[in-house]
Amino acid sequence: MPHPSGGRRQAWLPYALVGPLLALIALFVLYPMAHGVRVSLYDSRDLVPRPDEFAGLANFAWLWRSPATVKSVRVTVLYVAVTTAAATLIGLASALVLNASFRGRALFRAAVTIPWGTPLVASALIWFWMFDPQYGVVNYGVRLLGLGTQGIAWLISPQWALPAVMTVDVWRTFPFGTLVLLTALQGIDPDLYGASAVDGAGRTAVFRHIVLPSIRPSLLILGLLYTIWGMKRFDTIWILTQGGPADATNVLSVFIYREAFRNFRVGQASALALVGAGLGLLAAIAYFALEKRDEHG
Amino acid sequence: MSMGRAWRTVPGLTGTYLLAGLFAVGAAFPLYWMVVAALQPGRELFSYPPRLLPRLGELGVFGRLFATQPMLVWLANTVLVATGVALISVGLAVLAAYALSRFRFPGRTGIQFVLLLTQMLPSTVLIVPLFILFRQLHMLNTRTAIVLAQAALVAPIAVWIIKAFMDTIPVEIEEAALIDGCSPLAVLGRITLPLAAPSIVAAFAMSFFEAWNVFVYALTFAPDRELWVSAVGLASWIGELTTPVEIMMSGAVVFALPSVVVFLALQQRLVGGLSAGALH
Repeated sequence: MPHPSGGRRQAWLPYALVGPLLALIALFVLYPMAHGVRVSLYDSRDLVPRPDEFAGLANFAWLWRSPATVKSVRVTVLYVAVTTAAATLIGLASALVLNASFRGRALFRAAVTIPWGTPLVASALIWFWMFDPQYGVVNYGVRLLGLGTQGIAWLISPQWALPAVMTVDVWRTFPFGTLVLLTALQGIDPDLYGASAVDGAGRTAVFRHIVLPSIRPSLLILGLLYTIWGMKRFDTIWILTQGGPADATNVLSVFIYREAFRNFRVGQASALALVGAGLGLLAAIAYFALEKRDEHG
Repeated sequence: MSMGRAWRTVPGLTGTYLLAGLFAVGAAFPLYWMVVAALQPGRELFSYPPRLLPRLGELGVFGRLFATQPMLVWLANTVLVATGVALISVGLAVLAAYALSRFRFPGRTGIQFVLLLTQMLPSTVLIVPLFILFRQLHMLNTRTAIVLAQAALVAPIAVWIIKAFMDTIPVEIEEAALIDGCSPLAVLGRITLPLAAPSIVAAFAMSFFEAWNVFVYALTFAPDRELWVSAVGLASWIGELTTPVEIMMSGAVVFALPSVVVFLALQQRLVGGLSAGALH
């Protein structure tokens, strides 16, 4: 609610209130972004581009031709799509279960949501030990279930490393979905259920015609946030695999960091960063379009 | 109220408990396993089948952790950085949230878009230019560099948490004070801030623990060993093969515990703020 009186008297006041925050963001987010665009146009091995190194779009052409980029984009899209879908679905399933009323519900809810409060680096450390090829509890589980007798070298196998780092991500982020969807489920008008009971609608019909439409906005927001977070994920992947083996987990954020701080190809890294930012923006636009279409029926 | 749960997903109470138990165990097991691994004599960690219960007599591992690792230095650096980030981001966020909640002014939508934009970029996109910037400012290898860069990323989330709460405070209370001749700033200080205190506490905790996590900024802008935060220190154990597993896990326990406790206490408000931010 705006102040009708206070607002008119001092038109400059809101700007003065927002100003310090905007200054901080301008200096440490917007300015670096703009500088990144500039660096991407230079053939720069050092972190400060010189005029004689101006390369135009050569860095982008290099990216376009490089198989590593193609692979990285593919891994990123796969990573984001799978983790978003899995975290949303597991979040939804757990929220539906926790929405029932039963004794000890708060305790179960705390246990389900505990991963979300675990620091990323602690999660990486825990799962590093759990994925240990010889003594890890994951391989113990695999043997116990009779799925294999030889241990899988999760983090150093080109085949399993990506599913392994995705597992850590989904484990860490699904509880956020649980909480968001639980809130949405509890906001559904109880009368709707009553009416459907009178109509004799089955469980599936109630879910499709009452529950799903009610929580649709929350599902969309969740999808957007998971997509953004997935694109940003760096810490756990860097700690567990550094993008390897054979680039199997080389998502864009890891690729950018490797190019800049391991291979010192700063110009290319900045070009790559722009590709990453572009992908993020595309995802955001897609979600907003979806939301708009939803609003207009 | 209980009518709201008349619709059950799962048939029967037993099914509900079974499924809820499955989710709870799946989610909590890795943390349980961390504690089990911390509280075991080294050789037992490498036995087959693995011991599934912790040995509560092995608490001495925490003594060894602090004796053999610079854990105290890392924690002190982490607390310094996290406090700095929380103070700056919440301080600026309170002012901005008040403006965005209580005033309609040209550029308001644009500002909210910029806040959203800051959340969409991977930190690695910003890291090269920020590295250049901090080198020019002679701020490499300072904790201040970590604090400023991290605060700029965290502050928008703090704005959303506080603004979402301020939006629910009836404006009439403030109107009365304005008519009595108070300035809007005095109203903010004497009326709105005390009323919004719960959200400010939540935003502070959120900022603090976002910064508690800070890794890649700390790794890049302050690589000197004596400036390492816990996340950088803990991550350095992986792959160096000299730190015993039980020490690694006891470090993870010490590092994770405060964060887990606070998130469990505040989760509802934090979730509300994050999804409210994405909505507008």
